[in-house]
Amino acid sequence: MSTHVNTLPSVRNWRDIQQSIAPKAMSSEGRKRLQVATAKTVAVLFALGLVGWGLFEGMRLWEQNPNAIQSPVKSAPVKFVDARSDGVLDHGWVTRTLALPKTVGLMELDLYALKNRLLESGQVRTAVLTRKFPETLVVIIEERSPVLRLRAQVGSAPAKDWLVARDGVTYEGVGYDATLLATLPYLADVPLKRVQGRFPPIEGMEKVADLLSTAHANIPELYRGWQIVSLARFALDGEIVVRSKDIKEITFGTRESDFFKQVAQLDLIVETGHVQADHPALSINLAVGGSQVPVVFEKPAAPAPGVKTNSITRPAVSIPAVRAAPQRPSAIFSTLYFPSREF
Amino acid sequence: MSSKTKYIGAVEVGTSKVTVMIGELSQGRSLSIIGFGECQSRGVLKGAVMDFRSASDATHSALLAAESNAGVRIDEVYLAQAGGHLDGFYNEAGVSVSAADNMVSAVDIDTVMRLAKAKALPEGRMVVHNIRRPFRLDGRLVPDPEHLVGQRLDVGYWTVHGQENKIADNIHVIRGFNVPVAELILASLASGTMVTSAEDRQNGVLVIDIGGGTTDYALYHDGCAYMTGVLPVGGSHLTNDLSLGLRLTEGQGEKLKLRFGRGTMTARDKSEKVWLNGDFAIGDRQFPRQAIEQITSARVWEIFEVVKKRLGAGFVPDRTAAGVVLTGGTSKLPGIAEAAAKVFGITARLGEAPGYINENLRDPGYSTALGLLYFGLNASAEAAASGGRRRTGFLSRLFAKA
Repeated sequence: MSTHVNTLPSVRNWRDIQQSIAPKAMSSEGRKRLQVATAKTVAVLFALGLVGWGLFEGMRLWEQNPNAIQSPVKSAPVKFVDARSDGVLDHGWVTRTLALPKTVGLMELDLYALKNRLLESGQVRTAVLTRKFPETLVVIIEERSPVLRLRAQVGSAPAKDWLVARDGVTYEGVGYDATLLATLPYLADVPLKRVQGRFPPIEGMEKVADLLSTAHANIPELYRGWQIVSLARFALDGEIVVRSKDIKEITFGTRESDFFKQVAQLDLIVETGHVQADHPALSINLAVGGSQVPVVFEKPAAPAPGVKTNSITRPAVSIPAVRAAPQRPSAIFSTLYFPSREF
Repeated sequence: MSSKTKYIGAVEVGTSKVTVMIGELSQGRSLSIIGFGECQSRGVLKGAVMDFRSASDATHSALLAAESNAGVRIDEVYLAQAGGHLDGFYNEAGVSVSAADNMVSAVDIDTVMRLAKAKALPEGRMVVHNIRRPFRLDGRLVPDPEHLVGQRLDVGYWTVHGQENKIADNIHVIRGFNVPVAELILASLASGTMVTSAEDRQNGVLVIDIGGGTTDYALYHDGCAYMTGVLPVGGSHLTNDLSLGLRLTEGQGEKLKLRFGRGTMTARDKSEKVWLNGDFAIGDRQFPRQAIEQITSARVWEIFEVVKKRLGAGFVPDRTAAGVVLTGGTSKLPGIAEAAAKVFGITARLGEAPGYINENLRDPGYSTALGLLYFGLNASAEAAASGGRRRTGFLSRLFAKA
């Protein structure tokens, strides 16, 4: 059957008629339309050709003599670096860190590389570099704020203090007031391992930052005595342990209870005389939750003969439920709100 | 112009006038008629171009008028084809269903269609249309036989063909305006589609389009065109008859035809006279009304008789339930429907454009151009639908791969 169909006579259809006709056979309007159509086609082809030629020339120049492309921008070297920061880093630090050659042109700058150079310090959270023609490089910096200090020894160099930001980034810190840094507690019991010359971000620092800011805002006097913040039990139990001058170990929970409630309980325990100079507390565990706070006291100064224990545990202090609504740390900072002491 | 808007032109180069309509096709699914141009035809005789330059000038004037009316440029043209050189024949082919389970496949359908269309034409003739009639599977009519079970599949085509050089002349007139011809459509099919409903065509209807120089007809059965034809006789012959019979100029004859011509005779009084101009000026004359009606009705009657004869056995009054529908400029002649009813022995009426067409374009003389736009809309919608199918296929393949 297929052979039979393939040998069928071909039948001419009106579509076989050649539609193109000579311009002579056209009317004046037809010729005008033809000219316009031809002109449009020529214009499009010309434009395409022009673009193609430009690309070809550009590519050829780039391959053979790339300096010829860069040379026009060399005529505008960078004269000013306009550095703006929301922190302590100043113009000098930015200039030193960027270390721009004296005669470098504005268009020759590799902004991506310069940005990375700024971010390497760790203190810079974001950096935006823009060219402001004809000769100014604008650098806008957002800095990290230190939350804690960290003493670490790298290699054979002597141990030195590092700063830890809220996002866990560890950096050396430049330009901070020494008295301000002295008020920051130390961070302890965190595994540190340098990767590609830098410490990776420390886990859980957001929680620690929330606790510190809540304490700083609500119990500034107690906070001043805080010396070490330990994260030894953070990964396993979700607990943050603070060692202060007066109390050897204050344990805060991060799982359920709010820091504000825990800070308020701590303040109440200290203020209501449960912890006094004659019988200082060894540890206060605020991580238990609810209204019960286990407090471990040191052994009295003159122990009875034959008594072996050096510490006693009193019954858990019962703390009424906090009536005031807990405040988020950010709210406390912004309004300096101090809740009433109605427990 | 947005990428999804196209301006199509419907052009009918008739013997007495050239009609151009411009349609704005939006998204390939809706069409608005936005331009119209008309010009007295020159260089065209009995639907065929005799003087290329004159015909081009007249057609291009109408095209320009339509473009300036619409304020846009035509992208492509749907051209009506008429003329006494057009002829048609019926050819049928059948194949045995090839599958072992006797289920008709796409290959069977393709084979039978190619066989039915493959009939050699005389030298110098070419196909204008291949109009397919419904498939017959073991004798029963089926619209789409694919996946149906049967032994033998038959199909027939009504093939319309014409002289190559005359068709080419018609196309070249349009190409002289530097616009491509997208489709060539038989005038009777264009007007027939416009003045009849799908129900009429399903029940059987005879459409007669009486133009200035030709009379086109199309007989529909079972929803498709069953037979078509063109007579090289039209309204201008009525004028010519009046001129010869009453010894008038052609202009005077045309005037009398338009004012007093009729398809059937009503005047009984031989002494009743009518004035040529009615202004009683020098040269104004009187003519017997009965003579005028006699001349015009005789010619109209003859046209219908010839159409009936051409249709031959194909015309069966019982299978033409929707009657005769008259259209074209000459169908405005009073009493012409009665004449058609008497000749064909079935009901006859004047064709009317659908209600959604503007009142100014509902004249029977415009039905062909309107039908061309309708074809343009359908072709565009089909193209859009097939594009959609292609997209679906691609997505299906993509998901199948995923």
